[in-house]
Amino acid sequence: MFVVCQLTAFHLVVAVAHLPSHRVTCHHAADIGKPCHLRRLIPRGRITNTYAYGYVSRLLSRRRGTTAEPRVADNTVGTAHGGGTMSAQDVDSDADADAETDGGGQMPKPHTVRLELVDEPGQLLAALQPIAENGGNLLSIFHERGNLTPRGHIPVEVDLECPPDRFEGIVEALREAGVNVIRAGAEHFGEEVTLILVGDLVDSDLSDTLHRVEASADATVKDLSLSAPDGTQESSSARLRLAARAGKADEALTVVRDIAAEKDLHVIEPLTEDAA
Amino acid sequence: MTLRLAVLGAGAVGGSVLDLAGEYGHEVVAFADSSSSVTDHAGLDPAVVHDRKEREGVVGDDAPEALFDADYDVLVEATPTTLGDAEPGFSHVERALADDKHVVLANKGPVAERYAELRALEAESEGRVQFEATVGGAIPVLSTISDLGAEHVTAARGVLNGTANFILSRMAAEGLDYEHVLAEAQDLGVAEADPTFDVDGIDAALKFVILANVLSDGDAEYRLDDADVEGIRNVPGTALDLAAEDGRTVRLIGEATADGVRVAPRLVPQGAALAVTGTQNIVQLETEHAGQLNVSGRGAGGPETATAVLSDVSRLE
Ligand SMILES: NC(=O)c1ccc[n+]([C@@H]2O[C@H](COP(=O)([O-])OP(=O)(O)OC[C@H]3O[C@@H](n4cnc5c(N)ncnc54)[C@H](OP(=O)(O)O)[C@@H]3O)[C@@H](O)[C@H]2O)c1
Repeated sequence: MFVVCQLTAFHLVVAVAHLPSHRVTCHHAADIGKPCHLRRLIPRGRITNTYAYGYVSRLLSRRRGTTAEPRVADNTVGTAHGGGTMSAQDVDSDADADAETDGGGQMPKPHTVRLELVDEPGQLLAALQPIAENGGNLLSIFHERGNLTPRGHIPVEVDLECPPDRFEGIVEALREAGVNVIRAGAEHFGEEVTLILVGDLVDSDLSDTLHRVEASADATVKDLSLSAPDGTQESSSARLRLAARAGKADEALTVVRDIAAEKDLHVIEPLTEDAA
Repeated sequence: MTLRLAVLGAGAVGGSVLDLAGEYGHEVVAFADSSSSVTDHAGLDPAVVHDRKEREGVVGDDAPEALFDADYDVLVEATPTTLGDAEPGFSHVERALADDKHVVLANKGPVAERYAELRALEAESEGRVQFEATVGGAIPVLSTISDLGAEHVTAARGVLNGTANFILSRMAAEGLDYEHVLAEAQDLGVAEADPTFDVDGIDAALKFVILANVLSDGDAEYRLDDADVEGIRNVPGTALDLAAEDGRTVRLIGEATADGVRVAPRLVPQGAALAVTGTQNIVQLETEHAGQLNVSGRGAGGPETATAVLSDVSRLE
């Protein structure tokens, strides 16, 4: 079950539905850049709190310059916590301010924080607010309801992105807000690679491509964005953000290259960050 | 010292060399196109030569080979770049060196496809070979490397094809597809009627092969065949959209590194030095002791390229 926002490129979604990854953003090419069409799909287990989902969507759509409110389809899954404890407007203005300051200074880096939440409504939102307020962009939330810590709390893993010099501030703000932070640190996958795959992604089974990348490259697909043209001859593209263990990014790229060659896809590889 | 030039090739580059030589203190004494040549040891009058070429399609009454009989110091080779045996450019260079004349190349063929042979011929001659214009038009790439010392430059990367860069940056900025922007570039004269060389990455690859030859300093020889080349025809608008959404863009990036020569569309951050726009070119040199050095500017055009040719001529004084 997924949260799907009126996807017209439905076949593309089906192709990636089994992705064991964190967040999937799906665009329909004809709609890119237009408000109100940020399409999103969240695989099961990632976010089970619909309020949190709305919140994250807002942050993400802000970040991507989309002004539209993400529309959540009726088949929204997950156990919704009662009570919207926070108004979306508050969230937006915070996110806005942060988005603007993101540009300057250091490049954002991925970080993971592991939190323990009391199983009460509104807890997750309360935990996310200090992150947004202190310049963090939420990437994904893994909220394992039903899996309790020895102390009877719910473990939540939050992947976020922020300039390195802001990370301490975020952790501090979380603690000040009374959130129990059990582990905080740079992304356990030390290196990130962003690349674009071009070609007939659906016919070449994107889902299989991603599975194989994850299986053979010792890498995780952190983020996937699809852009599928509508009624034109143009090829589809998928932007992948891979997290690889430190020093293994090149290996991950080689794996992608090989799989792409086999499936007649093109890879637009990144130029190493320090070179650009 | 005034050097006497024999200019082979009467196109955009050769024609501009004829026009600008005087400003650089040199004179053109012989000039040839594919079917004719003209020699005047008192110095050719550019206006007269251009006028005849325009009206009659020839530059003079003599055969092209007669150019080599002129009393000249430097052969400027500005005939079309050819692949493989790099002919007839290579034979032109060979002939001038055999006569102990200097050679300045705008033609990329001989330095990209037959570098070692060319250097061997140069070693036997009193003449020297210069080829700044073959890499990045007006941008002083090779002279910068020569100043730094090729052994201190560990890699070169960058954007060295204005046509491909124009197309990619227009596609990204306007959200237009490849065919549309290509047609626009052809209307503007930025792309040729047959854009293959540019959009398939061959032109950029030749330049990075030349860079690799210069950087390897005799240790290894590179040819176009050794380069891993991918052009921009497979970059759809959807890819540029996804790149932009993530603060990146796509550029046709060439690399000459210890691993060899590679040209391919690559993701680069939007604000990065290598993300030049329009027909702008840039080369980034990785140095052993001085970090990165970027040189950018106009990589093509008749007067631009002639400027590089004439700087080379002045180095031979
Ligand atoms: N244009 C640039 O921005 C640029 C930049 C860097 C390097 N280059 C290189 O510089 C060279 C010249 O470029 P261009 O733009 O000036 O080319 P172009 O405008 O096409 O002119 C080529 C000229 O070469 C002549 N030619 C052809 N075959 C010949 C032969 N066998 N003997 C004598 N002349 C011959 C042609 O004669 P006809 O007039 O009779 O046809 C024409 O005048 C090329 O190798 C190119 O790759 C150009």
